[in-house]
Amino acid sequence: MAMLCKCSGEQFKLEEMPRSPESLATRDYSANASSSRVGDFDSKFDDDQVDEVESALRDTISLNYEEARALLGRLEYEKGNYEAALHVLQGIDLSALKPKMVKSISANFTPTKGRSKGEKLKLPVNLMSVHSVTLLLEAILLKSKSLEGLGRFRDAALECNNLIEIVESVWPHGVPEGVADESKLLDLVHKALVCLPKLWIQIGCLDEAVSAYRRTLVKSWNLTPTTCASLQKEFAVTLVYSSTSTGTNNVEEAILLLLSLMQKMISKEIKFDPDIINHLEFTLSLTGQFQLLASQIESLLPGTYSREERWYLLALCYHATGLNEDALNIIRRSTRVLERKNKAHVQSLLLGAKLCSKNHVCASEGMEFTTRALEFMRGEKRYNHAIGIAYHFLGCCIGNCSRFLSDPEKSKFQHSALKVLFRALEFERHNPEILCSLVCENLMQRKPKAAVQFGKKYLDMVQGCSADGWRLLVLAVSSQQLRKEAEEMVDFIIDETDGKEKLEFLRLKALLQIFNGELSVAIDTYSLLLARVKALEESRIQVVNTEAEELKSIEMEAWLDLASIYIKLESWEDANLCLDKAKCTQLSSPKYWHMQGTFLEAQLMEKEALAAFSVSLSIDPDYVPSMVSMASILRKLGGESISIARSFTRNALRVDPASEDAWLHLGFISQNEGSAKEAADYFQTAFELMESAPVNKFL
Amino acid sequence: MFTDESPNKPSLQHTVSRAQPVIDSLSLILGPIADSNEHSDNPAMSLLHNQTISRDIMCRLRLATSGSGTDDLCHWLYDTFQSNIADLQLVVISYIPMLAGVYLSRCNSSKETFSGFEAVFLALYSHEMVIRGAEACIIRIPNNIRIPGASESGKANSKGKATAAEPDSIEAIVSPALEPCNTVRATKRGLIVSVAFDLYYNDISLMPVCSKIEFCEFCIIWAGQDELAGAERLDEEEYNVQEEEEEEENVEEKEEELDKKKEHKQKNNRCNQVPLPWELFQSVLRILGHCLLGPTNSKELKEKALKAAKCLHARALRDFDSKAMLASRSLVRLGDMIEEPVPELQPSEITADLSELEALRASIFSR
Repeated sequence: MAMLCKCSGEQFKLEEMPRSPESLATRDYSANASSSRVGDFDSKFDDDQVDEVESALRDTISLNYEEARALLGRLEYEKGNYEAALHVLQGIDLSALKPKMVKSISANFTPTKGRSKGEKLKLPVNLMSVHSVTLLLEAILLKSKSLEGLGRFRDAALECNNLIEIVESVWPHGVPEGVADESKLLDLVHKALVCLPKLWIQIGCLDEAVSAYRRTLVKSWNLTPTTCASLQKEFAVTLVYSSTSTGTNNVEEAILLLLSLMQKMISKEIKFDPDIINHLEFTLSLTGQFQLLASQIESLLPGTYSREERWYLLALCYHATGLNEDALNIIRRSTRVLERKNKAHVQSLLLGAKLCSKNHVCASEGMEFTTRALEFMRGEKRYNHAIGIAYHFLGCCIGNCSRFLSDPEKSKFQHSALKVLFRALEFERHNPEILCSLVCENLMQRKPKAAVQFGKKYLDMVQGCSADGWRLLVLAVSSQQLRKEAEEMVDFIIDETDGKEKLEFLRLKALLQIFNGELSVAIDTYSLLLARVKALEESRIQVVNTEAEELKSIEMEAWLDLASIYIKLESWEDANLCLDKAKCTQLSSPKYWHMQGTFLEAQLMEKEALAAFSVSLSIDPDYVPSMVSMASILRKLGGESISIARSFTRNALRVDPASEDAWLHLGFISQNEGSAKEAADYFQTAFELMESAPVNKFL
Repeated sequence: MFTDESPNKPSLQHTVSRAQPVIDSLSLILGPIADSNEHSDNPAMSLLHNQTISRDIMCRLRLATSGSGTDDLCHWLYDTFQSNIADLQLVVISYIPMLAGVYLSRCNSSKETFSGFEAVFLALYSHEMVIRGAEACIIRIPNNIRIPGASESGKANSKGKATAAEPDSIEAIVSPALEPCNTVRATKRGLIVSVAFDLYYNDISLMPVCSKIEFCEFCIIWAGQDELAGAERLDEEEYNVQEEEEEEENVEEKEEELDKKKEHKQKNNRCNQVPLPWELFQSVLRILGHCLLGPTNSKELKEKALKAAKCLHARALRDFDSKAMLASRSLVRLGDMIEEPVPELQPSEITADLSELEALRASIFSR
C-alpha cells in the first residue's frame, strides 16, 4: 500500500482516501478505457499479471488522488486562498507524472486522421484520460497563479514554463492541425503562453521575456487572432520601452510587429486599438520615419480619427519629413472643408500659418490662416499659449508680404510686421524662435542695428547652440558695415563648429572677404574650404546619401565663387578651370549655368552668354540672377529687346523684391527710355539696398 | 514587488579587488562610507543602490560650486568611468540625469565654464563613440508593409524576414556615427548630452528608480515647466469629442488653478527652459518612454514620467516643432490610457461536485 501512495509524495494511507464510486475523476476514468479492466481484476489473478494489475490499480487510485488535489487546489484558488491552494497543489508530484501526461496528450490529442474509431479503443491500459491530463495541466497553471498571487514570480514563471514544455515536447513545432480549437487543453496552454512573458518582465528578466514571446509567436499555437495580436502588442511594447540587451534590432522587430498589427486592424482582423497607432507613432518618430508614419495614418480606415485630426496628423508628418508643399496642401483641403461647416481646427490653422511663413509666395494665405486662428481663439482661455504662436507666424507672413509691395503700403506692412512680432514676444517671452524672426525681419528691412541686438539676445537664449543664429548675427554685423567685427565673429564660430557647418562658415568668411574686395585672401579661404571638403569625404567611410549631396553642393558653390573671383580678375583660364570643376559636381544647377553665362559675358561673348542664361532659366524659371543678367544683356542690345529686358527685371523683382541688381537694371532701362524721374527712384532703391546689403542671401 | 536582478558577473572577485580602491577614493571626498558597503560581496553594485551615498553625491552636484575644473567629485566620476570596471561605470551612468540636469540648467544662466562636468560628458561620449564605431546604427524596414505569415498567428518567422534587406526597404538611422570631440562646443552640446542619455538608456534596466525619478524631474524643468494645462487642452480637443460636456466643466476649474499657478510660477520657471534640439529631445523621450511604459512598480516614477511627458509636449507645441510634437503627443496619449486591469483566470469549465470535494478537503487538511 505504501507503494500506492509513493508517487503522491506524501504519507497517505489508502484507507483514508475517500473513495466514492461516483467520484468525478473515477467516473471519467472508467468511462474512458479502464471500466472493463476494473471488472477483470478478480478473474485474472495469475502471478504474472499481479504486477500489471497492481500498476494499473496504482495508476487508477493515485490519479484519483492527484485529481482530487488538483480540484481542491482550484477550489482554494478560486476562493483566493493562494497559500492553501499552493499547499494542496504542491502535493502533486508533477515531475513523476510528466511522462504519462506527455504520452496521454500525444495519444489523445493527435489528430485522428487515417485511424478508425475502433482503433482508438486500443489505447494502452494505463493511459491517462483526457480529463486527467487536463486537470493536471490546470493544476500546474493554478500553481503558477497561486505563486504569482504570493509574489513568488520566479517560481510562478518556472511553473508556467513547465506547462508549456510538457506540451512542447509532444508538439515541438506547435499545435498540429486538427486539434480542436475549443479544447480545454489548448485553452490552458494559451493561458500559460500569455502569462509567462509577463511573469519574466515582472522580475526584470527581460531577455527571458523576449524569448518567451518569440517562442509563442514563431510557432503555431492556434491562438485566436485577438490573443495573438495582444501578445504581439505586448512584445512590441517590451521591445520598445524596456531596453533589453540586444539593442537596435529590437526597434526593428518592434516596428515590424506594430506594422503587422496595423495591417490586421486595417483588414479588420482585430478590433481597433488606438494604443497600436500611438506606439507606432512613438517608435517611428524616434527613428525619424515620418513618411512611413504618414503612409500608415493614410491607410487607416475612416472613422478612426476625425477627418480634421487625420489631416492635421498627416500634415505634421509631411512637415517633419520636409515635404512642406504637401503638408500645406493637406491643411488647405482641411480648412476648406471645415470652413464650409463654419468650424476650425486651431492647430491646423497654426501649422498652415507656419508653413506659409517659410514661403514668400503664400504670405497672404498665411495671414488668412492666422487671422482665422486668432478669431477662433478670442476669448477662450485654453488657447492662451497659442496666441503668441499665432502672432509670431502672422508677423512673419506680414513681413514676407511687404516685400512684394511698394510704398506707402510697403512701409505700412513693414511697420506692422515688427509690431506684431513684438506682440508675439509679449506673449511668449521665452520663445527664441520669435527673436530669430525679429532678426530676419530687421535684416530684411535693412535695419542692421536692431538685427544685431536681437541676434545677440537670441544666441543668449539658445545658449549659443544654434549655428543659424550665428549666421544671422554675422550677416547683421556685416550689413552694419562692421567688416572687422564680422570677420572676427566668423573666425570664432569657425572654431566652434565642425563638419558641414564649419564649411558653411568658411564660405561665409570668404564671401565677406570678396565683399570687402580682398580677393586674394578669399582665394586662400576657398582653397582651405575645398581641402576640408576632400578630407571630410575621405574620412567618412559610410556617408549617408543626403550628407554626401550636401558636401557636393558646398563644393560646387565654392568652385563657382572662385570662378566669379577669377572672372573679376580677368584670369579666364583659372575661371574656366573652376567652372569645369563645378560642372563635374553638379551639371544641372541653375547656378552653374548662370556663372557660365557671366564668364562668357565677361569675355564679350554675349550670344553664348544669353544661351547659358536661358539654360539656367529652363532649369529654374525663377532664378533671379539669371533673369537679371538676361535683362542686362538684352538692354545693351537695345531696340526691341528692351521691352523683353524690362519684363525680365519685373519678373525678377516679383520673385525677389530685394534684388538690388534688378532695381539697378530697371533704373538703366528707364534711363534708356528717357524717364529720368522713374530711373532716379529705381537707382535710389538700388542704392539703399546696396548700402546695407548682407553678403549672402540668407533666405 | 518589482525586483531588479542584476546579472552575475563572471569575474566578480577580480572586479571587487579592482573596485575597492576606487570606492575608497570616494570616501576621501565624501567622508567615511557606511559599513554596509564595505562588507558587501560586490561593493560596486551596492554603491549603485546605496541611497545615502547617492543622496550625498547628488547634493554635492547641486552645489553652486560644482562642475568646475577643480571639482573633486567630477574628477572621481571621470576617473571611475575611465577605470573600465563595468559595475563602477554603471554607478557613473546612474548620475547622468543629475549631471545633465545641473549642467544644462546652469549653462543657461551663467557664463562660467564647467570643465568638470564637460570632462565627464566627453569621457562618456568617447566611450560611446568607440562602441558605435565609425558607422551609424541603421535599421531596415521593408517598404512593402505586408509581412508574409505574420498575420496568420505568426506561423512564419517574421523575424527572419526582418533582417533580410529587401530592395524596397527603408533605412532608418537609430543613432548616428560619432565624430571625435575634444571640447564641448555650444553647437555640439545637445549632441554630446544626448549621447550620454543614450548610454543611460542602454543600461536603464539596471538604474535605480531614484535616478530615473530625478531624470523626470529635470525633464519638467528643461521643458519650461508650466503652461501645461493649456497646451494639454488644445491637443485633447482633437479627439475627446464625446466627452466635450464633461470637459467644459473641468476646463473652468483647471483654468482658475492655472491662472493662480501661472502668476507665481511663470517668472521662475519658463526662463529655466533649456534648448532642446531634436537629437536631445529624441534621447530624452526614449528614456521617458521607458519610465512611463516600461516595467516598473514605482507609481511615483510613472506619475513623474507622465508629467514630464506632458511638459515636453507642451514645450513642443510652444516651439511648434512637428517632430517633437508627434513624438511627445503619442507618449502623452499612451500615458493617459488607464492601465487595463489584467483579467483573472476564469474559473474552470469542468464542474465539480462540491460536497464531494469538501470531503476530500477535510481529509487532506486533517493531516
